[in-house]
Amino acid sequence: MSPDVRDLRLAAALLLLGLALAAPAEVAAQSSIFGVRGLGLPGRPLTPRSRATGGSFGLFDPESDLNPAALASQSAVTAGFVLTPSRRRWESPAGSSSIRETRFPLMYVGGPIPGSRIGLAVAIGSYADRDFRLASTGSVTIRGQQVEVTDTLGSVGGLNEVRLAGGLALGSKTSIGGGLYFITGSSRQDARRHFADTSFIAIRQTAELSYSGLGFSVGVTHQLTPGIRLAALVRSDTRAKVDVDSTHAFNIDLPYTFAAGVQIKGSRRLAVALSGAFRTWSGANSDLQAQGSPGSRNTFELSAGGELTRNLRRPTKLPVRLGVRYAELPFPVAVGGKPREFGISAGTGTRFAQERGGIDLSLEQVWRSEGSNYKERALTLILGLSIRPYGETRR
Amino acid sequence: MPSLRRLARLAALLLLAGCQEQLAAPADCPNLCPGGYQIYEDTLFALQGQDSSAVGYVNAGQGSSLLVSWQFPLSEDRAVYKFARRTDSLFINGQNRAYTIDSLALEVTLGYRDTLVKGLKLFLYRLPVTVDSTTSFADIDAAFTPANTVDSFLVDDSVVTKRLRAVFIGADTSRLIIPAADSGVLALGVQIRADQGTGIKMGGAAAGSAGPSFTTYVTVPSTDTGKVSRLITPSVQFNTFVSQAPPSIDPDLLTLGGVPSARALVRFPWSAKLRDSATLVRATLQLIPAAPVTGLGEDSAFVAARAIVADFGGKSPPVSDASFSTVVPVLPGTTDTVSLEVRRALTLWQGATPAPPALTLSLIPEAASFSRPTFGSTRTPGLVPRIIVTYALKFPFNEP
Repeated sequence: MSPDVRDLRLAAALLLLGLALAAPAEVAAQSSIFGVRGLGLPGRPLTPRSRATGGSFGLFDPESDLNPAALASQSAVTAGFVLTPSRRRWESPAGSSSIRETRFPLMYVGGPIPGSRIGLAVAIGSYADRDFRLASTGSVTIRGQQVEVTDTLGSVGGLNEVRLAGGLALGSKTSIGGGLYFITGSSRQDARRHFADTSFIAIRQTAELSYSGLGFSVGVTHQLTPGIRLAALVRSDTRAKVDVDSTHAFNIDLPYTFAAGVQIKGSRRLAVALSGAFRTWSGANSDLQAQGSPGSRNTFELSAGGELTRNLRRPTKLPVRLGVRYAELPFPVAVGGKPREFGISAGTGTRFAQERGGIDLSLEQVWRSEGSNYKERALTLILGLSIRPYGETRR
Repeated sequence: MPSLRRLARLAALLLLAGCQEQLAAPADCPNLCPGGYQIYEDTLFALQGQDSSAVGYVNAGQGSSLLVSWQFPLSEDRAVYKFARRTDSLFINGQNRAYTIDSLALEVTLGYRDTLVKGLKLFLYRLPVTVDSTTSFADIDAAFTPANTVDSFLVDDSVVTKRLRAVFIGADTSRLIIPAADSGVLALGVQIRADQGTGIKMGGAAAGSAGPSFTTYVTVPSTDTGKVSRLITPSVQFNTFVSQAPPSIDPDLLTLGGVPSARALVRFPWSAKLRDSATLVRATLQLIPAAPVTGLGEDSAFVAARAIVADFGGKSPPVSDASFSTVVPVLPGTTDTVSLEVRRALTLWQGATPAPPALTLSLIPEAASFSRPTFGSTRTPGLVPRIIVTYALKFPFNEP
């Protein structure tokens, strides 16, 4: 059997494995318990490779929707998308629930401009997920009598970002980049109330909340030594204009993001990275509280991870990636709450068809909590497919 | 590649292993219940002076039943049937041929009777063929004499409804001879007697197969030597019932039913909030009887409430779609508040082109029931019609 055929069969098996994990989740969409309030659960538009390393490789990854400076290091025109089926279990004072969702947190097309030191990319990424369906029961007093009611509130959608970005290699060591973000999206909401007394007609109201905003980012990467690479990012998102059924309702201030990371190539086989990010979500606090939300808070996240190359001749074939991540979440469920998450991840991938096709997988286990009342455990598969139709480009 | 096979098997296993999930997660309120419905309740009293009854919608005989009563507290009623002209010859084998009457049959339908009243007996009388829609009780009272009796039916005490048939053969056919001056037209009246005052409902022309019939069985020559049998069944040209003392309308009350039938139009206040922003959960129209509902035994009639298309007072056309109508039974003797769920009708008062905020009330069946409920109006304090509206306003979707 030729190496190409083996690669194709390996890729097919990985793809089948990924789809198998994804398939049962397509019947419903339920996001995190921490995506109910505020703008939802912040998205992570990263490639499976970056997610497998806890996100620590994200600032250095040209295919992730993060650091525009990294685009200067692109070696091939690449298109890809990422699929993330997940299973999660909520625990709240009202009970527990096992739910699933499938998201598409990233699609991207990018590549180097031949003969230049510039790399460009267009990416569509998830900014915040707001998929949920909640059910509660209670009673209300109507016409002097207690009437049992069942309420459900559902939301499908969230905020996405479209990034136009470019990176420029200033020399052999340093690259800079800039990105423009169009923040858009909508969540279709559906509120129902059923009365146990059928004399009262069930209520169903729907609305579409649409969001729009802008963001800008600048980034830099610098090869400090042959084994040490640094990256930094500053991003400013303006305000999200929120319309309810096409009527302007309110604005929400979006955060600044400050991120930095270091990647260390300890040997030819092993690369490790550490990165951190700080986001000023507290700027949205007053806007959210004015609408009745518990508000928001600044967040800090720290991630670390590494990639072990198993085959030096073909580094893209089944490397082992591991990562760990800690992050604070911006939108508490209860006033004064401090939601946070901790996750571990692992992954691998391969290229096939003379490196023109790629499949990457990672598996991420995350524990989220806010005090002792709200807990969540989520297992997410991150499946990425990519194609490089022209192969590697010589620069 | 054993490792690939293992991966493929694992993938297939996972494909088959779809697990259970909940489509909705339990919400921990209020923290995980953004927004939330607020339920409101308003009582809308009819607009002062904007409610009234009008009469003349359905006349006696246009309903499904004819009323007949005797010593009934409300009135005494008698039914009148007038059949179309019976032909005096039949067209057989290309010729109009005179016929010979063999026998005659009369059929009427007892539609309802109060079985608590025993000894019910129906009497059929010949009436002058000049009866028409202007004929009053007094005009024909003199015709209800023994000399004009055609036949009678003693109704078994257990019978509630029955098709009654009288056959006249031989000499008895003389009781139904139609004089030449009547031009083949037969008019009959129905009166009852019983052990005590009561009423019955008879099938009218509008009742289909329960209507009256007059059949003449004849023999007619088909050739110079042969004969054939035929029957002649003239249709009902006209039917009605006449009342000895029809009650008058009290302008201070809302009256439904009676003869000619009365309907009521009631207008309500309807705010912009209810018109534009409310999701109606329940709306109950409450009508308070001004007196116990009159009627016969357990014969229930129905009060119907309908939205109107346009407000032209007593001539306001009701919405034709029955799904916007509400009907509730009213039993004779009812004194309790009559409640009708009118949420569907009130949804027509909403939207960009709302219907007028008014309801038309009527009795079903019209001009065919002894029931004649009267309800309080805005001129009778304490008995004012009202709608209790339960509703929700716009869900606060913008609460993040």
